[in-house]
Amino acid sequence: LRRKSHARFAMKLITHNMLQSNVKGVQKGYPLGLRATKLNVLDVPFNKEFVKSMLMRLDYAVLRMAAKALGYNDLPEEIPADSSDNEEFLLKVHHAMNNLEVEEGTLICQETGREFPIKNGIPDMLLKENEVK
Amino acid sequence: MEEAPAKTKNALKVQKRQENKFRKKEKKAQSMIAQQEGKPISELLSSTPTRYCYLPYFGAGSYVTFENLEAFLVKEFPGFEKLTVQKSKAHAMVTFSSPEDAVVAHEKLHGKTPEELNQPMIIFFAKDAPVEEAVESTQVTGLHLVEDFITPEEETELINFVESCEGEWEVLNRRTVKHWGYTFDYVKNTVDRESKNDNFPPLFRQVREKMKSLDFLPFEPDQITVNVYEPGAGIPQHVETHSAFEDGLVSLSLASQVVMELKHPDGTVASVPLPRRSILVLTGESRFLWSHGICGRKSDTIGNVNVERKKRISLTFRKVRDVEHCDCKYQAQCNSWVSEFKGSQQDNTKIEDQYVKEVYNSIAPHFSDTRHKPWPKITQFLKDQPYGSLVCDVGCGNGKYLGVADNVYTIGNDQSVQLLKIASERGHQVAVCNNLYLPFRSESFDVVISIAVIHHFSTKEHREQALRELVRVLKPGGKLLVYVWAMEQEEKTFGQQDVLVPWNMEKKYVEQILDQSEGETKEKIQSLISESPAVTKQNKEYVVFQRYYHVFRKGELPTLLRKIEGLEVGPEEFDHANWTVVCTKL
Repeated sequence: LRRKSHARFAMKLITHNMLQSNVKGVQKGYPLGLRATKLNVLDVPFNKEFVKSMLMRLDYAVLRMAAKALGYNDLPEEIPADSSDNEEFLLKVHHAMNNLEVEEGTLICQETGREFPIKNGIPDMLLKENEVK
Repeated sequence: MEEAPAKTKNALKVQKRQENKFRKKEKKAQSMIAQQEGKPISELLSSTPTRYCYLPYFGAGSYVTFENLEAFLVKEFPGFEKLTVQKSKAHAMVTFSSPEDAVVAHEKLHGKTPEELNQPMIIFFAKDAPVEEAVESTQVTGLHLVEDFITPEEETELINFVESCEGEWEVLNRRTVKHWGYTFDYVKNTVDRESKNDNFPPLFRQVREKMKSLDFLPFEPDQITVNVYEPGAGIPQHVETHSAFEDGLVSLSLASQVVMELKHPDGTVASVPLPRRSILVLTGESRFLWSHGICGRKSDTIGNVNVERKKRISLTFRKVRDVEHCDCKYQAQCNSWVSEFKGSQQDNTKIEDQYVKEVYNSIAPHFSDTRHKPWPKITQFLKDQPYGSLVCDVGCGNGKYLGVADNVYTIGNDQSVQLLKIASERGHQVAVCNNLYLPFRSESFDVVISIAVIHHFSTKEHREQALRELVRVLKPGGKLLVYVWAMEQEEKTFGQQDVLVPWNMEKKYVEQILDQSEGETKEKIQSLISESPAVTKQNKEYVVFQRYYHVFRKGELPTLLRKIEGLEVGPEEFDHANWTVVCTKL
């Protein structure tokens, strides 16, 4: 599961899949919209067991939407029935969840339009005083 | 018959691999020592045994406390003389009575993991003795030492009285304690102010009468604590609670001499030999600003002579304040100031910003340099989780735990963007956020860990809210691990729960952090540095920051956790000066 040193440090779609807007009063803070101004595409070694295991924990539709926002359109609309043995499918999932990294960009709260910056690969989700009270 | 050779071959292979691994560890430790001492390793290490040893990783930032390590060395090695830790160095140094004694320790410890310390040990022989950093007692403002305050006959009478004294003695680890003048409330750990009585034994009154001649003693004492120390026993560093007692503490030493150490917040240490029949009087800075304590060890070096400790009795005379309040200027040491400061804040996030977030942003590279070893129990907890578990490390700092277990995938987060930059550079997924408002969807993680974080929240409401957020993002059936600093250490002292803990940062790190930061964060860091006091010690300049902590009493964490619905709270354990609990979400 550990990435080797060739992996640059920036936000992957696994992380995006977990993040939500926590601005006070927001009902539907998930998923966050995604826009990248600096995208890195890596070539992380494929680990089938890891991908299968992580797939169970992700919201697939959100992963697909986020990948599309980054220009990767190869994920099918639905998870195929034979997904656990479908290596072609799993490789696509792997690419989406491990190889696409946003170094600079924005996460957008769909309800309020509030933008959370991604700088140096790190999403800044800190709220301002008035977003909390 | 065919199997046996293959097995031995394999065993040899494994052994060789382990030896190589250890050799690598040794090399790493050596280069760290060389880097911190600023000299090549060949100038520091001795190829033949000497009296002095390096213990890498047991210095500043070690999770084995100074007191624990010292107690362990005293117990195991009759030849142990002294443990030296310099505050900016990650390695400690040990002095033995002779090279032969050092060899005994080397054989017993090098490459082994003693159960008491639970940390693998590496020992190197050093060419030179550790640098002494202690100053003379004359450098401690307000300290007075009066020798021969009582006669030998008076000393004998007092010793006999104390030894034959019945009644309620508090039995601690290596000393027993009794109080006079007020009833002592052992639950609240303070005097019962209402219970003032004046029934001092005549012998004690006599000693008190003599104190009238001391013009530097501001108040006549009305409370006495007697400590009977087993030979070699000590007492941890502490500042006498500001709000409980007036200025002026008097300590009379009977039956044995001892050396007391006083520590200034900037790290300066003063060694004060206390002869028998002498009194030590602490006023002003020495009472309110410096902490004092006695190292547990068999003997002390006084002048150039090693003097063995015998059983020692101390009588400490204090004046209890009429009103439990202190008005001094030593804010960081003053429990009255800290609780009033908290109370005066409209918004407790100011404390959490100024004395936690901004400080960590300012000290990030230095802080990260001193956080070396992941704690074994936490690493094991992560390794025990099912393969592929998604872990959230809330308050991950420099990412110490983000890569320790190969079977899990961890996303870290922290308030300090400067610490996260370090974590991110190591290849981890991180986000900046506040524990009180976690930006994660509910029930999204299999495991949540919170290591040394909750104690940075300044109110009970915030601590509870932070814990609730941890539980919210956890999936049903998921596990939560929490570690918080414990108030209780080896022995009780008159301490308090809300404290400011100093961090002394070398000037060289100022350049680094200003280089690494940008925008609003950088402005805030510059501002905090310019407001923080600077000290010079041994030709090195330091900036002194204060971090806020609410240290936890035994049982406090489980009580908070049990308020959260749908959470099964496990038993509380004590691990390396922290209270820790594992919970399962139902």
